[in-house]
Amino acid sequence: MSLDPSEKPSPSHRELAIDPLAFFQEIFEIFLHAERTSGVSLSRSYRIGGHVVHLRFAGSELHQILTPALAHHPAGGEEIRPLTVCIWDDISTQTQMPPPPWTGYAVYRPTGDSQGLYTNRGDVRGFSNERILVSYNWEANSMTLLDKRLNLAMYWTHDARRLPSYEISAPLRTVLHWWLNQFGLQFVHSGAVGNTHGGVLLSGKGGVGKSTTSLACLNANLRYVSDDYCLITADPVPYAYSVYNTAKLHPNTIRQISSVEPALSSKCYDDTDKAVLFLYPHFAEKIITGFPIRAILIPRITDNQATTVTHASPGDGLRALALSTMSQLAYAGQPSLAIMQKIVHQVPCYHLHLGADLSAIPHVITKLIHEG
Amino acid sequence: MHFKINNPQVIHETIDGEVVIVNLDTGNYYSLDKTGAHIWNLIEKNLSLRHITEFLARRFEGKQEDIEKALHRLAEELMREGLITEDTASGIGTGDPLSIVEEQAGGDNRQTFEAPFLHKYNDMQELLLLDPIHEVDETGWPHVKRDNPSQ
Repeated sequence: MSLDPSEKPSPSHRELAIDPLAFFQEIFEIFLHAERTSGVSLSRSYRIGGHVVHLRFAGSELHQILTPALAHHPAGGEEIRPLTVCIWDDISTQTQMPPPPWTGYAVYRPTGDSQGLYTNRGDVRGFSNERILVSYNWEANSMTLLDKRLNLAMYWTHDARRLPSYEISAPLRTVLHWWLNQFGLQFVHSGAVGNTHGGVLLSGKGGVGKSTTSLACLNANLRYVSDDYCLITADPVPYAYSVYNTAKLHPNTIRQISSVEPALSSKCYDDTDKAVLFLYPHFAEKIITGFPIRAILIPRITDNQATTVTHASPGDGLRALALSTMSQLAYAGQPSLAIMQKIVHQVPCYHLHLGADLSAIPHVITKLIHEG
Repeated sequence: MHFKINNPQVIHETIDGEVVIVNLDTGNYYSLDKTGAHIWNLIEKNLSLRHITEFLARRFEGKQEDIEKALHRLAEELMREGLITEDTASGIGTGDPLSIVEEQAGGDNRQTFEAPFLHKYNDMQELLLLDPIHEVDETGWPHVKRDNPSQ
């Protein structure tokens, strides 16, 4: 693999033969400038998955947008090497991000053919290295950088008011995934419900019924970790941790689970017309920090009235858990897959055939947890 | 002839005798079980085709010719899908090939040889799409190409 800046030359851009570390340092200077020009510097600190994350905002716009999804976490406290994330946007701080230094780069394979820079999940191919990770979400116009040695990260977007709703309901996914991975914690695209004795992961790609199942359990004796993204670890036992207090539902499903309406955000609809719910503070007592994972469920919406379960193979479980996760996290690779494999190896997997009677779902899941 | 797995763009894990393989370059994912899973694990150990054939002949009941044909067919398919490449620095395997063959082929309970089948799935391809369609604005940053400019 080689980098060839001469490919696709773009004379209007700076000629930056810049390495990732120099780029990181340049961007950090821009953040400091944004702090000064905005005249507003805000910070928040959380303990997520047992580790302390400090958020440092230049300007108040993104502070208002990104912190509600994390508001249920306790304050960070002391940690020897916490993560600090510097956060800002151009518009509200009246700053300007320079063009990306990788413009014109391409990844060359040994066979001679070239590939583009970006992937849907945010990789900027050929630019990151062992120390500096860079991701660009071209849909959100947001960039994430992490210096693994300094535990310092940055999250920038051009215009905070134009962020897609998934960046608001599940903020900072990329940097949390990168940083927490070193502690054996894996960010996964899964719902999770349970209680202090244990719980289940609800895995599979979008639209299979993860949110419906997770929120149907709010009316029962089960508590909420996630409907979409959570953290999991395999050591010492399979365990799931809460990251966000949000959920997303189609308006039709909200009518079926009307008790969640007080958590509805009036502003936040995504491009699939799902509404975003902030379960904290209204449902604070229903949110649980985490639980031991007793099973992996693969939901599927059926035309039946009753909800039933059937055994699934470990391969089915790994595919459901891993593939949609790997599709969404920049640079997720073999280490992520290995953690998920280890968990699937330790807990049973089931297909969850969801029936129309949503009130019966919690009972089926509770039974699985106790029999687990 | 030796092969190697196309790391890091190809990732894989074996669970309960099934190998799940993801090609991050194409977004395709694959499954190999039974004979196919054995072959994949031996390719990972950098065994040559000759030694893999030897392993299969000891482990399974079947004509040597049929085994060789099936193995070559699978190797070609794995190469075509970008999952493995020929390892020109051959002979640097992770252990003594014959001892690996002996160790894994052990036992008298030989099963009938079944030709391996590579299950291929492309339903996650869109999510892993490389170089998605985008436009680059005057600031140099790419953004979503929208059909309707008012969106």
